[in-house]
Amino acid sequence: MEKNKILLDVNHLTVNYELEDETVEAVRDVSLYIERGKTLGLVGETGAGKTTTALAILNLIPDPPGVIKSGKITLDGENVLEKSMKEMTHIRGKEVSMIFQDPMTSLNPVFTVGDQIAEALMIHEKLDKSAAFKKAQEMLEIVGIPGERAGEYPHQFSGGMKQRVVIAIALACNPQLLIADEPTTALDVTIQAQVLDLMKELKKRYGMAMLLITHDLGIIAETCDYVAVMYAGQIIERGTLEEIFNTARHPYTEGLFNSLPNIADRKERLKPIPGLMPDPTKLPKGCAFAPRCPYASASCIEEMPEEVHFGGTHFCRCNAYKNPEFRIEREDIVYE
Amino acid sequence: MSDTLLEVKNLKKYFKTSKGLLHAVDDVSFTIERGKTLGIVGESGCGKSTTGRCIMRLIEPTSGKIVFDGIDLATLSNRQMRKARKDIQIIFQDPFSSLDPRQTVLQAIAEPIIQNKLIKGTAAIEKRVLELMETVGLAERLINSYPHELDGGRRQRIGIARALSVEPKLIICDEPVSALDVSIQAQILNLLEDLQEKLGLTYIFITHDLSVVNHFSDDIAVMYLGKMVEKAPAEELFANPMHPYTKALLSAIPVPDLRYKQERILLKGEITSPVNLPDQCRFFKRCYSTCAKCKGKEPELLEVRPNHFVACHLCEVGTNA
Amino acid sequence: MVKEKLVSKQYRKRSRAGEVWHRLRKNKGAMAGLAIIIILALIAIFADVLVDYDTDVIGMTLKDRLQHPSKAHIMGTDDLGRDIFSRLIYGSRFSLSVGVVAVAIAVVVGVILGAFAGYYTGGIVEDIIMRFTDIFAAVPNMLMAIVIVAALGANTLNLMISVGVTSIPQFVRTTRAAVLTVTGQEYIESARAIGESETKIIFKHILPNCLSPIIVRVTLRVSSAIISASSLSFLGLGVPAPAPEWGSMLSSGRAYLRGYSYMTLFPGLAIMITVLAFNMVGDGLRDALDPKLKK
Repeated sequence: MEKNKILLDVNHLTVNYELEDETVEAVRDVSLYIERGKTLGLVGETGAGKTTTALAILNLIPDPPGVIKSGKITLDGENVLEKSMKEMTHIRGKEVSMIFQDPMTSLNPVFTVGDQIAEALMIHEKLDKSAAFKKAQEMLEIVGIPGERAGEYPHQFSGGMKQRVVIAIALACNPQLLIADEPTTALDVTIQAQVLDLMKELKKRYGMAMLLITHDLGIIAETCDYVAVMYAGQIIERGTLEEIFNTARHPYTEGLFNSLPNIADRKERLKPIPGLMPDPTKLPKGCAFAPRCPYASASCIEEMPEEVHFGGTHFCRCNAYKNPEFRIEREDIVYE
Repeated sequence: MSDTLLEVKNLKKYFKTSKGLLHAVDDVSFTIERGKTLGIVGESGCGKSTTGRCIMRLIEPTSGKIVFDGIDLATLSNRQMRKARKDIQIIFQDPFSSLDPRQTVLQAIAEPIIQNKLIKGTAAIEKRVLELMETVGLAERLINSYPHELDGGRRQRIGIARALSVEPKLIICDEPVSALDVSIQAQILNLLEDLQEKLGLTYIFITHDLSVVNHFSDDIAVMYLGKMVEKAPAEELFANPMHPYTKALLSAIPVPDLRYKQERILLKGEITSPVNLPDQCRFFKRCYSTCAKCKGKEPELLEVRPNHFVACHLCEVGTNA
Repeated sequence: MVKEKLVSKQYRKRSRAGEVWHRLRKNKGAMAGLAIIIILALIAIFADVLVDYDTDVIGMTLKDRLQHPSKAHIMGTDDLGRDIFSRLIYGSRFSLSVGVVAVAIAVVVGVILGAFAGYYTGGIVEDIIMRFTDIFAAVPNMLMAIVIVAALGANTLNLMISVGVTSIPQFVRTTRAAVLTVTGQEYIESARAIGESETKIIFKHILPNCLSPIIVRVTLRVSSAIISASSLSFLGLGVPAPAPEWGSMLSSGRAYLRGYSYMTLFPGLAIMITVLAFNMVGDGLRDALDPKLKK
């Protein structure tokens, strides 16, 4: 019973990109799970390994140069990485769908949007052409586009509309898991608000689980139940939305919050994280964040940090917590 | 006594397109005082970047006055304008395309100095470049690096050093941090802030990111479809937005704080392009609170409170919708 | 006073050309092609040392005519008793020089026109240049070359001109496309923002950044120029006899194809290998200059 609650379970996933001269350690020993109907937000900066993790779940890592070194990914009780190509095409679209960042390039310009939605339905739901097209029109209505526009081509739609079409395609077969990789980054603020609102509503309606990848903590705050923070290929902190936003523990998570302009106090000076993300081909032996970390000690550079649990689902990877007295500067937010 | 550095008056830029006349910038006016920052906010296609480029005539304005330090730039010949550009510089959005891939850091930063004949002699120029590199936080060892060897944050620092090298009075920052990661974004914003304090710079800060502009600006102007719809001091604008579009824009920012709950105003429809506009409020089709006048006539930008300008019929009569 | 030492001299500069060479070296095909081109160039330069023009190349020895390959004549002799191997060696001069000079003509004209058309878009300049280019490109290359040679008279220089002129449209188009891309980049605006003049921007920022596609086009075009030149000579419109141009050697072997196929085989092979070498270098350069293309 308990087991069936978990829809996606990723265990100790490690993915490398092996290039001619060097190896990029894109994902390092990542474990995460998503319960049915819940949303996990994956936050991190460029190159943190968010997209690679998502592609691995769909078994879509480009090979070469990508190599899944180790790990097990279980989706609805089935091991994704052991599936054949043919079985995978059945799972993709039906069990799990993905929305990419750029709506401009994820639609095929030579087919009408209706045909593109219908295609997924014909493959997975075995609908005939006219039934599939009718369902496609319904899907368009659901995402807020008049059904009559099903016969139009992608270039006749604006950016926000295209992203709605992409969402309609992703949801056509009623997947249990939706992976959204920066779904609103290419959109304007007011359009982003519309799309996020739509996604929230559809999630509630279909009860699907979602993995939302973004660099925007504001979007996470609005849409997610759980949050995982990635840095240099690792999940360095994970917890419920409240745990991460109100009682963050990892110095990097603290740094991310401090980097953002404070909406309440506009003249407060930003506190950026000094330095740069480490080169993913030359990761240090110990904690990858140590060179930028204000709390780092000599041992941090040598020792790979282990998970420190704070009860329940909240953990972070930080050596500083070996000292039970250690606390980051950011104060916990407590509601009155 | 106010010390105005730049006064833009009735600036217009129309582009001819196959569908008709595109009003990219339509009758925009504003002033900036020395040492202050004006934020221009808006969504894609609202004309904010075009406005910035028109000021330094990288795009020729269709009409309007651009009085900079007492001289109307719009009346200068091309040759005179090239000299005048020394005092106005621009920092671009995309650190990946704003540097010539064939120039090293040294060459890129030295180029404006050589072009404007500010310093003579290789050694002296190099000394100045090293000074500038230190100012913007670039390590000396990077002097011979090519842009493709550097990350976005460092490239943006080169862009800033290049702009600073001619000691400009005004810097137009066109989305200088939107291509950067959050932690790097904060580094660059702090750098720009420090430079303003140290060198007494004046900024025009063009962005779509309201939380950044709030942090950074003294005054904020909101643009929609080529028109300025609201302009006010930053605090006033955030505390008391009056134009329906500004309100929607503000409510649409996702806030990374769980305590902060707000009512979201969802706009219907999408941004159209400002081609062949009828004489009605540009926001009319997406607006959620309209009156009879909105459809008939384009509202003018009026001062409804001290220093707070709004272009909305509903605000004119004092009924704060 | 001691001259101040420049700080920039202390740090190593990794040149772009060096990086391209580093990548090119890994491409075996391109390196083989390059080796062949260098050998051919050396042969062409030292052809006078290797063979004697008067006796070996054009001197007829009728008693030795139509000899099959043997120790004395490793590629045999032709219908006038001339050693085919010697003639091929000397002929490399014509093929390479026609290829190189013709492309040089096309590059100079094509790049200048293409740069103007790309930079002044939307104006009358672009319209005129591009319409003329379209008209030019609409006439079959060979036909155009034949017309030009026929009008000017058949000699080596006119052969170069005719092949060069027919190659111009390709360079106009390649350059224009490259200039269009580069002009859209923000660093061009940035150069304008610091007060540089338009001419300076074109020559300092735009053209150097358009070099990659032009270089690739040049290598690939040299090979087709060699083919065009040989074809014209084959038709008797190129280098006049008795000069040993590879195409005209092919042509003269045609009559003896049945019994003495080596007369066409060896010049044919020479053309093929040369063209292949240039193509391989061109492909290799394309990958080396633009690493993004390779996945």
